[in-house]
Amino acid sequence: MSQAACPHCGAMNEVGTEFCAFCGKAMPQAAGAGPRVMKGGALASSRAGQELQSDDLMKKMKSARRILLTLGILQVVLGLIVLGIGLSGAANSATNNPNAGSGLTLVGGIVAGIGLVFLGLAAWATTAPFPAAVTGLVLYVTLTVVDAIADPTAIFRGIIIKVLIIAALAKAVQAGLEHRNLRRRMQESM
Amino acid sequence: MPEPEPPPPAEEVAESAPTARTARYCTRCGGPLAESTACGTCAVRFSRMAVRHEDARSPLRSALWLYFATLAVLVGGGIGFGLIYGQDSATPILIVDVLSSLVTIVACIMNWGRIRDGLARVSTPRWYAGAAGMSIITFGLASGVCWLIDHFTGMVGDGYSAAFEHDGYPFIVVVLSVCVQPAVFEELAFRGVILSSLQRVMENREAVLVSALMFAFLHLSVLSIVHLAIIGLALAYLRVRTGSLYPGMLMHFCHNFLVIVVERWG
Repeated sequence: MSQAACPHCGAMNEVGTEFCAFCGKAMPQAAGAGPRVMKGGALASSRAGQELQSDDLMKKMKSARRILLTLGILQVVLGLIVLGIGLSGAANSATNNPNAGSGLTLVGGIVAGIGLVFLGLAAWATTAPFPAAVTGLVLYVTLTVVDAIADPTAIFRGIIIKVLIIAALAKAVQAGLEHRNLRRRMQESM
Repeated sequence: MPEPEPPPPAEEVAESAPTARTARYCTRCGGPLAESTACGTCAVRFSRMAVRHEDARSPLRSALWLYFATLAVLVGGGIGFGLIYGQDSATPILIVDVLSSLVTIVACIMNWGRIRDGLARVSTPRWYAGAAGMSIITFGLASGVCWLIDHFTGMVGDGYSAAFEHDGYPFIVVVLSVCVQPAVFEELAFRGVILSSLQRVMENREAVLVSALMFAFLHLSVLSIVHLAIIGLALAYLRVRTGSLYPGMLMHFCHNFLVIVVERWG
């Protein structure tokens, strides 16, 4: 370990320490004074740093919320389209099956309803992104499994999209987790 | 946390420094050190940052593993054994009962520390009476929802006893499979492992809500989500308020028992 002399009292300190261990005065920095890099779990102590950290918190919440919101909107739109097709009776004539329309109406209604649930989760994510994201992930995977039972051939149709959505929800859970950890640490230090 | 180095031997130090010196100031902030060599000014910050927040992934993983393992058994077992024994038979139901109970038992063993309290506490008779009373309300709620679904869509469920009657099982088997098994093992799983695990990583209120939603989702019935979530909330509330898993088991049993009794003789 290389040592540097304190310019005030002359005592030898380790290179890189910020303050002399023997007189408490500032040691000259080899790298020069500049912005201090916050590493890992460190909390900001200056006001500017704290504001940045609050922004970071907000960003994580928005990241989780955005994923839930997108999923919700997509499903509501998709559900309403399918619902519309079912109600219009177009499916009946296309498939020569008088019950096709009501089947589509029901499916469309359910998909739109699930979409509303995701919109609700997105709203919850504003205050509690972690539980909302976890619920969204569990819900979506469960739905995918139920969908697979109802129509096994549908598993492969759109499997890429499903995998992407699950990955996005896992990311939302991760963001929610980081949000929770950061918020707890900030609360504890107050 | 950087510990101040002890001073080097005397000959290397400038002549104004004494021969033996103890470090007195924090090298990080220049504040005076307390006797314990922790920084007097920023020691609090250091010790707080050093506290390891429990890795939130571990309790979350426990909860998710149990949920998805149970889901896999329900779906895989239901389809697989349904294909082997036929959809009208009760055998697939019984097999899935056993398998899902095993999954829950394994999860309980792996998370024993979290559920131990819930199993050790027995609560008071008043709470058991309350649980039984609540089950009448939830039964009313579930029945109402089923009536509404029937009224608006004409969809009527098969009934829980149908498969058992088809195979000729006595009523006691229906009670064991539809009332006792879910009451015991779903409580162990959802209010035991899952709720306790979630409580480690979320506020109580959030954990209660998420566990109730997971309970609703696992029943794999989109139209039942709302009333199942409400039942899940009631059960989780019982667990949190009494600290015991047993009142919830009683409530769950009574609810399911009312369902099959009314279905058979109502």
